[in-house]
Amino acid sequence: MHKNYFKENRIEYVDYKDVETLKKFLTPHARIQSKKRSAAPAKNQRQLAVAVKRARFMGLLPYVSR
Amino acid sequence: MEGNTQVYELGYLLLPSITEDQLEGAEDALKKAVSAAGGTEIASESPEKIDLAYTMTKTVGVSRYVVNDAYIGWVKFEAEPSAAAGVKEAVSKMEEVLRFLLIKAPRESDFTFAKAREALIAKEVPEVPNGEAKAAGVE
Repeated sequence: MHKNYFKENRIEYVDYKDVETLKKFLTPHARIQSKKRSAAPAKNQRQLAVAVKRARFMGLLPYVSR
Repeated sequence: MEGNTQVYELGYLLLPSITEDQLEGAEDALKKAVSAAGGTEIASESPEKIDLAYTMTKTVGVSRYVVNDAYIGWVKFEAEPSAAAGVKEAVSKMEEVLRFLLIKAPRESDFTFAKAREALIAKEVPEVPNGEAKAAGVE
């Protein structure tokens, strides 16, 4: 993963509808990557976690995979 | 009133059993629910069909809907925090709404499903001529 994906792509707000971006931060089992793996700053990691959970609720991302 | 408002986003999933021509009516009903509660619409995107990542169910009266696809759409609006509660209650009573998500959101809509689709197509299109060129080069 990039050094800071969110800063490089100028993403100020992590939208739950942006599935393509969120997918980059999921493991093959559809779990949220640890901050160690995602290399995202704490603020972005928190935004990411909320966005992924919202996307799951709306059926855009799975809760579990495989 | 001015300084007290907050921008909200209402994302929703509509049951796939409603037909294409009923879709507009359902969208209008949602927008009416927003304005009736005192919200001012800022932006929106019309519902479109998606495949769900997992199976969802909704029980309406005695019938139980088990669905694998749904129409997804959203409305962004500005309202006072007390009005948002009214929107939540009104939408939760709508039978054609499978699920909905009422969240605080930034005013700008950087992401739309239409833009995302264009980006996906733009990504795929240049690959095709390249693939052909490679294939031609090999021959």
